[in-house]
This record gives sequence, structure tokens and C-alpha cells, in this order.
Amino acid sequence: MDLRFTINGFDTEVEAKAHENLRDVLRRTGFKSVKKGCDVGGCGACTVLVDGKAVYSCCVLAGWAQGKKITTVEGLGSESGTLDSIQESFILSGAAQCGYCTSGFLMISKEILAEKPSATEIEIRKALSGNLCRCTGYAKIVEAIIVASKQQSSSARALAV
Amino acid sequence: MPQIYKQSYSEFRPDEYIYAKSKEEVIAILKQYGESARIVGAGITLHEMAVLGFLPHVKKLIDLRNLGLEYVRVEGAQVRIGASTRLREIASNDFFRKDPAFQTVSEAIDSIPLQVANAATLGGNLCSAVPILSMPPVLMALDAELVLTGSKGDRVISINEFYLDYLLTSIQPDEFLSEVRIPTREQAGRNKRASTYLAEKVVAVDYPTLSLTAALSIDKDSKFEEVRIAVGSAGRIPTRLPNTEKSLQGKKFENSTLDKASESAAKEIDPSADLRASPEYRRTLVSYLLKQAVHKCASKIGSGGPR
Repeated sequence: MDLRFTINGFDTEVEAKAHENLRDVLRRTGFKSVKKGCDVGGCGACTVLVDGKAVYSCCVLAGWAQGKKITTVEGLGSESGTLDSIQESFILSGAAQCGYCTSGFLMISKEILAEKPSATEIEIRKALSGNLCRCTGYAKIVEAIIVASKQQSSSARALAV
Repeated sequence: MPQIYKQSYSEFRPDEYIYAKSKEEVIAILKQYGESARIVGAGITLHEMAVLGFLPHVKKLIDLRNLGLEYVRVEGAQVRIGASTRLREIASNDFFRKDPAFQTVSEAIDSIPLQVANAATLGGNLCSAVPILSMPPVLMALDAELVLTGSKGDRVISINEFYLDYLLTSIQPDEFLSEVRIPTREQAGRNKRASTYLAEKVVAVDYPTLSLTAALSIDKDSKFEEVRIAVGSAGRIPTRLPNTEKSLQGKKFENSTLDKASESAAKEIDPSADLRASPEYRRTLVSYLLKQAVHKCASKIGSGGPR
């Protein structure tokens, strides 16, 4: 079937089979930040944003994404190559060890920061419960999100002034 | 994907994904293809069932997005939820977030990873008939009704009559779930009612080892009035616990009552053994969760009770 959706702001048309999941279609289209982990919605490495909400792309059908807006890590920074503030924050906090889970964590972090910019550490940890880091590098990941949320709120204050 | 699953997944090869335009079209497809046609929400449980090799017969997938079944609205003495409504949308509705009598709904959805709740639909969670999913016991304890739309029109049944066996519901081959209705009952009694959802999990992303929903009211003399208890992951189907409910109804909220009720719950479930727990462990768990749930409801109502 023909699928049309927006990937990182670009209208995209791809050919997909009815049984295919969104992750396989995204990877085939070239978005390799979408990682293949557990395959059954248990590790979060395949997390992407669909219409702004984090979703496991491994266990939703590609057909379900028809007409929706998808964001992957490739779409986080600007076209000129500047990184998104959450990416900067992950780098500064050293929030990656082997790095396999990182793109999934970046995407869920985007949703946390968008939905509840002032989330407490406990709320952040709870929201991260659907993502697994086999290196157990959680402390730095949580730190990175807290730092990013503080930056976000201080730049919001600067704008207000 | 682990080698053992590869072959079973390769058997899942539907040849068409259909964006149905109307209820009539859905029914026509269901009539034509019978068991080999399947309604999909986001496809989350479907994916897992495909991986396990349960769906080699499925040839047509039917998407309901054009039917306008995404809503939560209060109508008269009912809250009506469209079958395609996403779990996260339901949980964020004030009715389920703030009213203690219906909070079990948002509590259950909050226990599911965001990445699932953002996509999973209520209809998918109910119709998959997998006894470890969260919403069936929650809606059983709230006495919900299901609207099944078919060639003979709409049929409304209690969710308590919906589950027949593992993966089997009373839905007919030419029917699909279009709406869920939850009775709100008389406004006057609402403040005294409360509900809660508790689940034991091995890890956060796993399905519950056991889940329990309690919805109850306590009168001014500390006696239980209406009591509804339902459990998931406790047998082949999600189920209410009528004997346990009876052991609480009309009784005073005190330790001896709770002890009897939790003994009854342990006897009443028919748990299976799986990789998460033994039947014995699940019986211990249901006793414990029942007591916790009753206490939690009581504290929401503001009723003292035993310590």
C-alpha cells in the first residue's frame, strides 16, 4: 500500500506491506536512528514522536501512521546542523554509554519537556519507565533532562522579559 | 527478533490494510471475510499476537479512523467512550482523573508506558481478550456496557458477559465494538464512592503479574454498600469476584471483614502458572492487593476504618 506521512517536516511517500510495523518502514526509508531492540514494546529503543506523542514504532502498524506527523532524532536539530537543546544536554551530562538506547531516550525526553516542562525527578523517572538502558546509565539521563528543563524555563523567562 | 519467533511472525501476512469509510463498509468486510478480517487500532496487541504466531489466518486489517469513534462525553447518566479513543486521551479526561469513583481508569492507564498509552485504543485493549491487559477488569468493576455494532444494528451487552475464554469474546463475526458506556449513577451518592487500580509487575514495561480493581461505597456507619471487585492476569479471562464482593457488602469496615474477604478472593480466582508467577503466588497476591485496594478506596472516601 502507499503510505503518505510527514517525516521530520517533509512530506514523504513510501511503499509498505500491510503487516509491516512503523519502525521497519522508517529504517528502510533511511531513518536509522530508530533502533531495533526487543521488538515487542519493552525497551523503548524504537521510540519516535507521532503527532508529538512518543510511541513505540516497533509495535504500531505502518498503516496506522498514515497521514500523521512523525519525528525522529534526525529531525531534532536544525538543518544547518545545530543540535537540539536536549541533545546538547545529553552530551554535556554524558548521558550515553553504549548509545544504543539514546535515540529512544531523546524522543521520550522531548515529550516530557513539551508536556510538563517543570516535571520533578520522580515524574521524569516514571515517564522514562518505558525505556531501558542496558548499561544502567539512568542517573546521567535523568540529570540531562533536568538540566534541559531548567535551561528551557530560563530561556522562556528571558523571552518573557 | 529471537529465532523462535521469526517463523511465527513470518506467518502473519495480511494482504490488505483497509481504511473503512463507514460502519456499513466495516460490517460488509467482516461478513465477507469472517475470521480472516480483523479490526485494528494501533496494532499493539495485534503485533504481539502476530509475533507469538496467533494470527496466520488474518488477511484483511480494518482501520476505523474514518468512523468518528474517538470521543469521551457525558450523556445523561453515562460516560460514553468511542472504541477508537486512545488510552492517554481517556486518562487525561478530568472525569477519570478527578472523580474518585472513576479514578481507577486513569490509575490503570498511568501504569502503562507512555509509548503504549499514546497509541493504544480502548477498543483494542478490550477486544484482544488477552487476560493480562488492564482495561477489562477496570471496566468490569465500573459495570460498563459495550455497544456492538453489526448487520442487525447495535447490541448493548454488559462487559461481564463479554469474555468467554482465553482470546475469545461473545462478539459475533459480523460485529465490532463501537462504544463503551460507563454508568455514572445518581449524583447524590457520588462523593461516597471511590475506585482504585492496583497491579503487581515484575518490571515497569511488563504486563501485570496480577491486577485488581475495586469500586465501592461506604456509608456513614462505616459499612460497605456497593462493592465491585475485578481481577486481571488471574486466569483465562478477566473476571469479577462475586463471592468476595458479597463477603464485604453490608459488613462493617474492620480487620475481620477484610481478612474474610481476602481469604475469599484467594479461593475465588483460578490462576494459571506462567513465567511471571505460580498459582500459589497469585493467590497470595490477590489477598494482599484486595486489602490494599479497599484501604485506598476508604481513604479516598475519607472513611477511617481499622489500622
